Amino acid sequence: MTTHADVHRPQPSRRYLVPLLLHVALPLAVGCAVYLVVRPAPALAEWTSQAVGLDGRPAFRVRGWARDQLPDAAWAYALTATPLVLWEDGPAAARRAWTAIAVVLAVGWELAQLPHLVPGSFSRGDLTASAAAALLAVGVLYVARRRREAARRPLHERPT
Amino acid sequence: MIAKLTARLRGADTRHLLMLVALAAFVALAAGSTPG
Repeated sequence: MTTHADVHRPQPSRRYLVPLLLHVALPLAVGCAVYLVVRPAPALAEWTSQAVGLDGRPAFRVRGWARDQLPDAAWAYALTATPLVLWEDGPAAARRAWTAIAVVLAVGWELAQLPHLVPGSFSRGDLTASAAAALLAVGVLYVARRRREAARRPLHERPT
Repeated sequence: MIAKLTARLRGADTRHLLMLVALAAFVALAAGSTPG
C-alpha cells in the first residue's frame, strides 16, 4: 500500500544529502574549525591558517575539552554516522556490519595510539569522548530512523 | 571465474565501495590531524 509519506519521499540523492550534511559534514567542519582557529598545530591546519591570514597562530584562546576532545569527538561522531546514513534504507545486516566497523575504528584509533601503532598521543579523555560520540551517533540516528519508519507506515497501522 | 566476479561486482551495492572510500578518508583525516 502506497502511503502519503511514500509519495512525498525525497529522491535517494536528496534523501542522503541533508543527513550527510547534518551528521557528517557539520561535525567534521566543527572539528576542522577547532584545529584551524584554536590549535593550528597539524601541518595542514597551520598551512590553511596561514593561507587565510591567521599566520598559523590560534585566533582564540580556548582550553579544556573544547580544545582537546571536541575535534576527536566530532570525528568519531561523523565516522559512526556515515554508515548509519548511507545504509538507512539498506539491508540491516550491512548497516550493522559497517556501523560496527566504524565504531571499532573510532575507538580503536585512540587505543592504537597507546602502543604507537598510529600517529598521536593516547589520552583517556580522548578515548571517552570518541566512545561517547560514537554512541551518541548510534542513538541519534536510531531514533531518527525509527521516526522515519513510523511516518512511512499507513495511518491505520500507526499507534494512536 | 573473472566473468563470475565481474557479474557479482556489477550486482553489488555501490554503497560498499562508498563506505571503503569514506573510511579511508576518515583515516587520512585522523592521521593528518596529528600535531607535528
